[in-house]
Amino acid sequence: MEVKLKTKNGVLLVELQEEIDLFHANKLKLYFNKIFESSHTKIILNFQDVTYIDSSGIGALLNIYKETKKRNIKMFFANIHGSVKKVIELTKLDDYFPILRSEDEAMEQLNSE
Amino acid sequence: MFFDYMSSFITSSSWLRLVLDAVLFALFTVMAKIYKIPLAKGLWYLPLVLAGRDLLSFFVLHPMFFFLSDGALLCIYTWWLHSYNPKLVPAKLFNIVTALVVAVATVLSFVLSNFAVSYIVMAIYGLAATLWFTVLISNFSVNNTQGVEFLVEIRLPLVVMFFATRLLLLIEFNIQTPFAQYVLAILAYTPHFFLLFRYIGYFAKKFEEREKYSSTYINSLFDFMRTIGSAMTERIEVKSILNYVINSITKYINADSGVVMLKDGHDGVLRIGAMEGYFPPPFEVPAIVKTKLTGVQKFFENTPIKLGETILGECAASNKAIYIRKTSEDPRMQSNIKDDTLLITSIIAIPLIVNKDVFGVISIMRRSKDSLFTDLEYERSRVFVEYASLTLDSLYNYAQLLEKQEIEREVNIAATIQRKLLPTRTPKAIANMVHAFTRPAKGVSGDYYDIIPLNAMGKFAMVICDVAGKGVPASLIMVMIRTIIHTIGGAKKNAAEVVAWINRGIAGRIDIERFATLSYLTYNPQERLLEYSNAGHHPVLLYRSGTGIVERIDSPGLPIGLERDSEYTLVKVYLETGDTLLSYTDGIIEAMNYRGEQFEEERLVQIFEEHVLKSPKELIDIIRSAVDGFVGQAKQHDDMTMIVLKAD
Repeated sequence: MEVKLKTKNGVLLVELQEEIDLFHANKLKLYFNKIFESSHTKIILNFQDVTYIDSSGIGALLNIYKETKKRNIKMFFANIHGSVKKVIELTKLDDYFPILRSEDEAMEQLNSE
Repeated sequence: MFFDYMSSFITSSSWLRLVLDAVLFALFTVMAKIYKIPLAKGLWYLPLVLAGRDLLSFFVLHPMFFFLSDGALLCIYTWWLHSYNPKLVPAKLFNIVTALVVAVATVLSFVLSNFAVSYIVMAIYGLAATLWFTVLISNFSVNNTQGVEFLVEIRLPLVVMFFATRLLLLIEFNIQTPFAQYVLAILAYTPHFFLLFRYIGYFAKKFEEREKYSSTYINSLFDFMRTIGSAMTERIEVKSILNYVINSITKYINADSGVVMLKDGHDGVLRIGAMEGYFPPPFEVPAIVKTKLTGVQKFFENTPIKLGETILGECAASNKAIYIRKTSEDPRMQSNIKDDTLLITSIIAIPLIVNKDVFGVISIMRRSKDSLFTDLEYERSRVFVEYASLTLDSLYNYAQLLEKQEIEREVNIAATIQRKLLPTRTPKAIANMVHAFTRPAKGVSGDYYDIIPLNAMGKFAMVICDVAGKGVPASLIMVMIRTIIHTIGGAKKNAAEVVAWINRGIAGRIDIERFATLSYLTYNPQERLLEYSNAGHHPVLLYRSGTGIVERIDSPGLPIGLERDSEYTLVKVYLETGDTLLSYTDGIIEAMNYRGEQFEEERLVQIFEEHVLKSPKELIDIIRSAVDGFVGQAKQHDDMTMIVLKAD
């Protein structure tokens, strides 16, 4: 699983790729542990290129989200669509996760605070 | 004439008494429902008899009715005492004598055409019977009868009131003046009121205590689970886990001591695995050994128990729990009833079973004559041991695995735990109504389902659950969920409350990424009531035979394990004959063929609709082969589970 990183206006943009499943979930977690070690306090997770997520993937996201709350990092999920959106809605997590429609919206939200 | 009658009807003192009766009756009925007060003891008839008498007195205000109904009331009281201990109270004799006296008094008054005679006879008998009742009730003590704490608590004021009101009635026993009607007759109600109020109060208090006990008990179970769970990951020795298990059970059941006996695989005898407190062997030991506690202990440690011998061996050989409330009354325990180092007053022995194989026995005991085990404590200890069985067994497998350093075998271990969790067969009574299917994708599953009978009325629970991740940790979460449902599912809690309990028990105790989605359903075939609550799982499909439409039933609520205080919603549906329910995990609709297409919910609904008139088993077979046909040779990476329920 590949992750593309960018920085824009002091916000860390994380573009997740393709599938987040049992085999990638752990990698993603380790990856984020490194991100948390850095000094970023504003993060956007972009799901534009994510095509599939399973329960382990959701588990990894839950873990990451919990960690950001603990570390006072502001994070938004953006561009969630298709089957990923369906899975998140089905598990009733759409209100639980900090989801915004687009990256721009998330950017605006992060910079206004 | 008519107006006279009407005015006397309206101003009748019976109204006041009737209102009192109604209040008493309503209160007792409502409270009995809320606090689960056993009505069997017959006290429920008290307000009914009173109301009957007062209704009659609208038409005829005859003192004879008062005496007759007093006789009936005394009979109810005696039957009530009788129900505490049939041996102690000659209730039948009492009732026959009462009937005879009443008959003789009535005949006498007609023969002599003078009611005064029967009044006197009845009044004297009333006093005598009350005296008799007093003697009966004072014979009870906590030592000779179980569960009479309430009787002992109230008997003195009750009897005093009985006598006081009876003597007061003697002032004017033909009940014609307003003083008699409004004061004396009402005063005669006080003992009944007193008793019923105290009775309600007693059960209300007990009920609250039980609720409190339930929650501390469940919390202790959770601590127990968590400790064992972390012990497994931290590679703690089996020996210290055994110590922890027996320590917990002894502590939470409030026993004096406890022991874990383990079956030796080679020669099939039971040996001590761990002990808490001083636990004398439940069999005879040589006299020389008996003099010292340490001697007894040493002797027990060095004496393996053969299967079938002593109650511990019997428990292991028969696969059945043994509960001896009072050892002095059991021929098997005769070597332990003298007040010496071997004394045991109350003992429980429960086999450690996995898949019908006994691998040991857990036993707890009390060594004091005034605190014997109760039925409730016995039930609690059984749940505890059942849970211990599952975890100890997996712990053993896990320990062996760690010894051999074959981590790749973890998958097999988890699969074994899971196979043991699933119901071996659907309970017979509901086998025609419910059918289930589960298939792990790669040996080990993240899915779990269970069908659990909840009460004698035929109500049962169906749970379907998808734990994120796999392997031993996921299996342990299933064990936790299962234990919670088995422990509290049978209580009066509704489906949403049960789901909230499951969540509260698990949230904060597990890694958040091991969250679980779960759908919990209960069905009561007598009321045809389906209850549903959902924790982030797929909605269930419900075909309504009346309309021919398949409905999707869902309710809001986060998955299990995220937030301790998540709230869950209850959905209630009354089913009609032919209504069919399908609950499933996402492995079904996400099954993928080689082109990467998913089976999809639409296809499932379509097949379900088409074959909904078939039996649950046929329906499941059809869906399964449809999914298999769809995916062809493509490899599946998610588990599949379904439950179908069809209302008769």
